[in-house]
Amino acid sequence: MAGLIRIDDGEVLFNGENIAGMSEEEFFLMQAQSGFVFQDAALWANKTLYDNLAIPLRILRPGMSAEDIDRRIGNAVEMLGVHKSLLIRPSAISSGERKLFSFLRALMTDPDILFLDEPASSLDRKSSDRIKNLIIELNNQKKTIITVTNDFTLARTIADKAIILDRGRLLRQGLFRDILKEHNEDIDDIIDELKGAD
Amino acid sequence: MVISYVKSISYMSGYFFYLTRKTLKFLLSGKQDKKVLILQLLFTGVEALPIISLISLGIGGVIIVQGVAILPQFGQGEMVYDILVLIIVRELGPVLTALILAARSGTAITTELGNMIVSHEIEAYESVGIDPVSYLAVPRLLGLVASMILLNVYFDIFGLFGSFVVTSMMNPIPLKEYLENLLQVLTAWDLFISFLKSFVFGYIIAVVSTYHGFRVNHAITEVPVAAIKSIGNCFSYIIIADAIITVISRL
Amino acid sequence: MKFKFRFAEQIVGVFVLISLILVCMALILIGINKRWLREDLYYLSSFPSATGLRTGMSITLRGFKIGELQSIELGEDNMIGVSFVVYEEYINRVVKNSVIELQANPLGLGAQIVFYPGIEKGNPLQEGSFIYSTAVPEGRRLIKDGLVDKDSSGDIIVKILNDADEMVLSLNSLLITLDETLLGYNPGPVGQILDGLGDVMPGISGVLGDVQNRTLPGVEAVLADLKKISMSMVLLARELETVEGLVPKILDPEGSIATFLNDDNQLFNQVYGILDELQKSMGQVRELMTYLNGLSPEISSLVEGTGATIDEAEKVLQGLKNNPLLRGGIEEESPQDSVAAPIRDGEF
Repeated sequence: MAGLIRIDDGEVLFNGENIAGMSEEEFFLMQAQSGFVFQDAALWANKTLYDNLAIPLRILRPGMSAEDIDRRIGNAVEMLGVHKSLLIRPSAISSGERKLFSFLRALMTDPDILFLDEPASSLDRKSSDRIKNLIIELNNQKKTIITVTNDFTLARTIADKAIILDRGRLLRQGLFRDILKEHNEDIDDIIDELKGAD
Repeated sequence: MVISYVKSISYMSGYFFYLTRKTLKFLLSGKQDKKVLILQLLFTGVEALPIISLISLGIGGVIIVQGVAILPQFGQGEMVYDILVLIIVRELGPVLTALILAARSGTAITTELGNMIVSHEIEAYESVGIDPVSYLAVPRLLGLVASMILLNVYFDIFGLFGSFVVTSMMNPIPLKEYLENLLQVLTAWDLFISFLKSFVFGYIIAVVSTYHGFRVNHAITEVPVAAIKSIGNCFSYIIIADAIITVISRL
Repeated sequence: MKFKFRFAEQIVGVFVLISLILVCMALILIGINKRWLREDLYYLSSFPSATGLRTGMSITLRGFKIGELQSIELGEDNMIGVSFVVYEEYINRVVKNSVIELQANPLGLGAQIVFYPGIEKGNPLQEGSFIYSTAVPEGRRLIKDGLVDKDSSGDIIVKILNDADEMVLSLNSLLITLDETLLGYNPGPVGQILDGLGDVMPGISGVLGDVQNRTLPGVEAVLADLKKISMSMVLLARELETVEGLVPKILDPEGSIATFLNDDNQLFNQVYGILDELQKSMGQVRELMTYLNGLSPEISSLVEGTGATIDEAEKVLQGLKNNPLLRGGIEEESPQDSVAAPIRDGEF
């Protein structure tokens, strides 16, 4: 959906335009207006943390001065409450922190849409809470967030709409609140029932 | 087998044109990150200098020793300068530099890009809207081509200097006379061919090594395979290109 | 941060700068060497054969390079047209009556074109002018007429060898004519043959003159010998050339082979005598060469060649005398030992 893998079938519309039919420039522009957080963080290993955050700005906002970039990174880091030297490389920090930086990187260009791949998986409690709070806050800022997760607890906290998939098959889609109500708020029940109903 | 070979060639030529287009764009816009280019020059150019100079010093010395041993037997003692220019400036300079760079930097580039794909770093570039070809392959291409040409200059200089050192050990002649004799046979055309070859070889190494780097799919075990393919292809294309350029330049 | 990362820009800058400077220096040096910015003037000439000519050959004036050969092509008239440049600083040497000469280096190390300026000083010739080479009659005439400043202090060996070369060449052609006459291809009078032999004589005396005058000015005894030899040569030559002497007889319409053979060997004996004399002289020269051998094997081998040619001439004449129709075969003759240590037999 984010355009990282070529579409086999169907269409993905971004601002009403099919991304499969986009020119190269339009495609990268679309990418620039969306953020993507990978399951395994995917920070650039041979760049410092600072560069990891600064490169998208340097390339996509060529007019931005070094001071502006500096300020923006400072604010973002402050918001997440990360207190690390930014001149070290990603390999020197924990995987939870890497995920946070990946989040920050996706947010640097101030995207309208955010794709999250398992945002809170394999994280310690503290980091996972931080990320949850961040998602809620971003949602309140009227940003569209699309997340893939098998953590129903997380989904319940943050999701409005849900699409439930099982091995590539669409089981159910609609407002998460409605789905929950139908199944008596029992999350484990949902999958079993939907599978059985098929 | 044949089909997959043809397919990979056509993929590579498609990639070649895409990369060329991106490179021209990079050169024309000039707004991109120049630090990457400088680091690339540092890695491929400056760091390869010691081995290049060692090899060229040796080759230059060997040519003069062999030449002095054989040529006077044909009454062609003066030919040793022609042979120095021919072998060092026109042939071995570009070819050996290219082979060294393919082995050093070509494999490094393939491995690096392959690893980046495995760790989703390439996708990360795409995800923030940066074209990985523009951002990763173009500076490597420019760095390789520039390093090739610059290292070729050093190879020629060290090769000719090495032969002078050996000459002065066997049969001392003044540097001035040596240079005059060399300049008698060295033409601007020789230099042009030498630079043309360096440019083409640098381009080949860059295209082939980035291509194989990007071809890695998702497993870390694919990376060494890609590196092997990359260096094999580099060597064969360099030799083929060398033969073509040499034949054309002699027509 | 590591040193090389902190100073990456500076290191790369130096790396690039040094190689740029080296390339610029190389280009400048090549430019100076290949005279890119000089306005050299080109001239034309022609040779009967392209043998020995090569583009890029030096044009020298008294051993000093003043230009080079630029192009060689076969012209409509089957002559080899060449164009060559003379460097701008030597243009004032290119005056009227200048000639060029192709000279082969005696040791087989390539050839050069020697430029001889005209003796008359004046304005330099215009670019594109035609300059005769000594390989065409006009060029030789200019030298003969003394219009050319042809230096006599050039390479002595080259000079002697060129003269000797010419002599051997004319002897050769003489023999060929003789052969052809005997085979009936050449119906002309035998006189022409002998006329040809007459042409050879000045050549031989020229060689000996060279040897006498230049090679060994200090060796008195040898000089005396040489003088004798050359005197007899000159006499022989004169006898052959004089109007009252041999030639009118030969030029007589009756001077055919028949006459040659039917006058009771009179003419034959005369010619044979000349050749005998020549042979003796060559024997003397050979003796001299034994002495000279150490100095220059090339000269003696050439003189040896001349001797052999004269031997041949004698044989042919003898064959003529003993024409199978009339008399019998060529006499056996004990070969003369070579005095020159064969050049190519030594350790290579």
